[in-house]
Amino acid sequence: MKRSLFLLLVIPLVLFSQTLRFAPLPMLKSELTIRQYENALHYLHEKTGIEFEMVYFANYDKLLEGIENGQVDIAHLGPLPYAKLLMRTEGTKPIVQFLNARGESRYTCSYFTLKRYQDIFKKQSLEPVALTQPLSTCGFLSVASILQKHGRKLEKMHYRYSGTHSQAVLDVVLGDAKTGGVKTSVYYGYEHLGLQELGRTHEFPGFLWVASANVSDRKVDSIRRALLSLDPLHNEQDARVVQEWGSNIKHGAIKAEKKNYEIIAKMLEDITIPELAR
Amino acid sequence: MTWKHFNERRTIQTKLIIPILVVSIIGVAVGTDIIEKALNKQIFSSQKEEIKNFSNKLYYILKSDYKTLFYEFGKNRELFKNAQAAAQKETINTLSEMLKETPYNVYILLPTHDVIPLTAFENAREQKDGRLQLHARAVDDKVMLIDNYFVLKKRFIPWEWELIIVKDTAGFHSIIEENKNLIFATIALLVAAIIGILFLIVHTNIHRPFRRVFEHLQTIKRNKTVRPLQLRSSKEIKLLSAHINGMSKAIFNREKQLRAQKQKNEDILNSQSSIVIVSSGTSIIYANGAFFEFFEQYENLEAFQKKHDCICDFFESVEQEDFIYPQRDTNWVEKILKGDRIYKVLMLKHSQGYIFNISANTIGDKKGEYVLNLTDITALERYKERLNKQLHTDELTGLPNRLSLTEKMLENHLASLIIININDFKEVNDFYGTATGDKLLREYGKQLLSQTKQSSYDVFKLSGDEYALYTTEHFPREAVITFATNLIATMKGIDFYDTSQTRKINLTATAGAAINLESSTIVVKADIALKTAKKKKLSFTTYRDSQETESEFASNIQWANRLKQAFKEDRIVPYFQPIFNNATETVDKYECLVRLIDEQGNAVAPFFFLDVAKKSHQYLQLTETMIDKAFAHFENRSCEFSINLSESDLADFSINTMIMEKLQSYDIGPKVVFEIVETENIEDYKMVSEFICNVKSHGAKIAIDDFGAGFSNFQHVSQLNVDYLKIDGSLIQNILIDKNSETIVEAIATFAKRLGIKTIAEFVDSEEVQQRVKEMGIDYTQGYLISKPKPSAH
Repeated sequence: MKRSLFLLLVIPLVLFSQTLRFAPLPMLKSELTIRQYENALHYLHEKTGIEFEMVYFANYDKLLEGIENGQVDIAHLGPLPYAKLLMRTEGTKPIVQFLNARGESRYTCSYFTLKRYQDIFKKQSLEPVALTQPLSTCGFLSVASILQKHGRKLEKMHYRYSGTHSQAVLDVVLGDAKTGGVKTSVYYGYEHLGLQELGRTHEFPGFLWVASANVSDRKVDSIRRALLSLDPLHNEQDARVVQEWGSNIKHGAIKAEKKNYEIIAKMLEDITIPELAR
Repeated sequence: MTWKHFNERRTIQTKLIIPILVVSIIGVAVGTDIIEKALNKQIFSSQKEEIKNFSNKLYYILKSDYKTLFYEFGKNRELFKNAQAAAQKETINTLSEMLKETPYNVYILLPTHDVIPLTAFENAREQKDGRLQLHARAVDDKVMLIDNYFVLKKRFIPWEWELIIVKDTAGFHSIIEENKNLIFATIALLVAAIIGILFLIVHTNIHRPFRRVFEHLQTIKRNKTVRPLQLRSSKEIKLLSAHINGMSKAIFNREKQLRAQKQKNEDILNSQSSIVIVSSGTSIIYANGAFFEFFEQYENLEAFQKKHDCICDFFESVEQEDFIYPQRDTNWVEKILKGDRIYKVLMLKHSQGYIFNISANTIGDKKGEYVLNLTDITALERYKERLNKQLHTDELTGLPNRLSLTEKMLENHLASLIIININDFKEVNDFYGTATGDKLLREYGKQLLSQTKQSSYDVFKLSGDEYALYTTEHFPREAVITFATNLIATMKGIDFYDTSQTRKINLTATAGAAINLESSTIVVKADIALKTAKKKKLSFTTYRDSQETESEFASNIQWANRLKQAFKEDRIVPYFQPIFNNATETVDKYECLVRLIDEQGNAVAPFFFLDVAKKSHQYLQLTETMIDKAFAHFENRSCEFSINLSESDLADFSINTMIMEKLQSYDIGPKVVFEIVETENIEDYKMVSEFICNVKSHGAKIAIDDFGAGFSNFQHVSQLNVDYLKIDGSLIQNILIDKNSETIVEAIATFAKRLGIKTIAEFVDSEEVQQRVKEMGIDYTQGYLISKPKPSAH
């Protein structure tokens, strides 16, 4: 009897205490990044009882592979990577979509250059173009869609992947690239360095956490509930909970809907990112 | 000496000197310049590379400093602004520190156009002005050479700094200057060495081999045998020497062939029977063996040439168009070369004449040279002469013949001709034999020659037994007549003997003459005169007397042609004259009489054409036509019909055969009566009797025509087993006016009745005659009283 009771208590705990492997954004692996995610994961563990383990991937490609082959249970993904994942596999479950500092769940991408280049579309070359990453929404996809409107084809131009939004900005500022594509919020952050915006996309849904098909709905709900219960932008107590979290997850979240990301998937049908096509 | 001469005398090497010198000088100058420039370029290039690398280092420092600033303060405008100024200051210090020992002059040009030197300058103010001028002309990111300075301007965009790096090139120029002389000397030595090598190569590979080639060719030219050329200084020279060796071998072989060919040609020419000479135009340069056979007095050509320049010296003059002789034909060679006819020449050898056909041909394209070919045709010419003589001479008598006479007559317009014909010579020939006949003809000819020796008459022998005397002298008519008459009389008095000389033969002749008339018609006219004389049984007559005979002849020819045409157009037809039976007073037989229907459709009686038919050999055709048409006409008629036949008809095999075939095929023998005419002249009674027997076997009957005229033979009548006697018309016509005629007719009637032979009276043309005929008991009547001959038997 006791044993059964014990088992009855333990098994759920065991079940409930199964470790989920969490992959943050495939950016620089820094102590700060680790600490920021660990704080969030600790919170979730307290709230849901789920153990989390962090796994790191150098880039989106490997991260997506990891999700597909079960190496990753939950991942922090940008919208394009998630759209790609939707095209490649079924069964993934979007958990929450994070808000930015202004409480916005959507963002835009900007195509920019230095102020000193006037009438660049008419008079000057746009190359080379500094992009973030192949799977970054504000990388090839956004810049290509903006250039399409000006009758240009990015795939025929000289472009380079700087790696991060900041690096892309730096490349342009230093003159190593003529133009670049980054998140609008990043653009604004560096606009004072003498940047000018050449074009902006429509709104994309924000970054989100996604659970692989292996993760049960119950756990997904549990995690979702835990994250959605926080309103740090309006609640001081919640703000204190999240103050040590990463800046991209500390402003609150909303429920993530698959359909919002399917729009991006449709964009990918029109614009082929060469690096992803290989 | 002209330039051309001078140029021709120079060797390849001397010719090469000036161009090589010029090229060398240019080469040295250009080479030095090129090397200097190359050196400059290399030095400058390495310097430029150095400067660029140096600038990249400086730029890297700037970028790194900015990066640090960007990541630390980039997102915060205020912080960034403050940090930037400090960072810039720090950067300048870092750079200045770094550039302390550098050979470069580096400074930063700020957006405000202020200059921040990073290295020390000797004269700050001047350098500043100079620097401003320098970087004003510099191009971003490109190392330029401005006023002996290397200048690189590199823009640092984030801070809008222009990093100017300057380096003085003064040091390099001195290095280059120092090396320049060395370079020049090196190049000059190099060029000299090249020239020397070139000369050596030319000498070894061109000059020396060519000299050997020239020597080799000289030896060939001197016709001496030579060893093969062996040159190996280069592939081309080796090839050249191989070709020269091949060529000289070919030349030797060709010469050998030419010599052999020359000998062969000489042998061929010498084997020719014709004389062949080759002339240069002025003298003979070759003559073959036949030449020396003819001109045996000359041993060789040199001996001939000593005395003669031209073979034409030996051409005899002959006044004939086709003969050449230089006295007349000064351009005789050209004449022969024209080739429009074959020419001949006459040359004498041992006083004997030799005739040659001479032809000439030019030799290739050599002007003036020609080949003469003289072919001996002497034998041929002699043969032709003999033949000509034969053609113009009567073989038997040796007198000129009709052809000679004809040719002679062609030469003249007016002449006189007497044709003499030996009378009855055929009979003499037949009687005494041809040997005597020939003898007589020969002797007669000789006698004529003898008799006319003193006259201007030429004697000719015409065919057979005729001779002609021809003269172109115009004698009075009477003189010719007298001459001819006397000649004939004289010839008549000459005794001729047979071959045994035992029997004397008297020969007479008849002559006809045409006097002083056109030669073209003289023979015909003399012949007409002869025929007239013969016809009139005269010994001599002239053409003028016998014009009638000529018209008769013309008429005969005309009738002969008409008869021929009538046969062609089937206008020879039988007409039928009824024979009236005095007893039954009916017509139960017809005589078939030949008629010629002329072009106008008129019937022409045989009187006009019968003689002509006989003379023109159309008589038998007449008889055949009559027999054929008569049988056809009476095939289905019941009455009898008679056909006239002469002895010659009966003797003719084809007529005989035709009659028998007709009798057999038509099977109307009992209706046929054959009237035999001219029975007084029948010679071969046996033949006639056989004929009668044959036709009678078919049931045919026989009538004797014109009985009573001439000397009719009553015995023949009984022997021939005739069925009818047709009493001659001339008797019947006269029975009323001539007693004798009446008596003869009565006698014939009685005779015939006694033999059982029926009688027919011809040419009864009146009732009175008919009455008398009936009274005489003549069985039948024929004549115009009964009917004229008509085209059809009713």
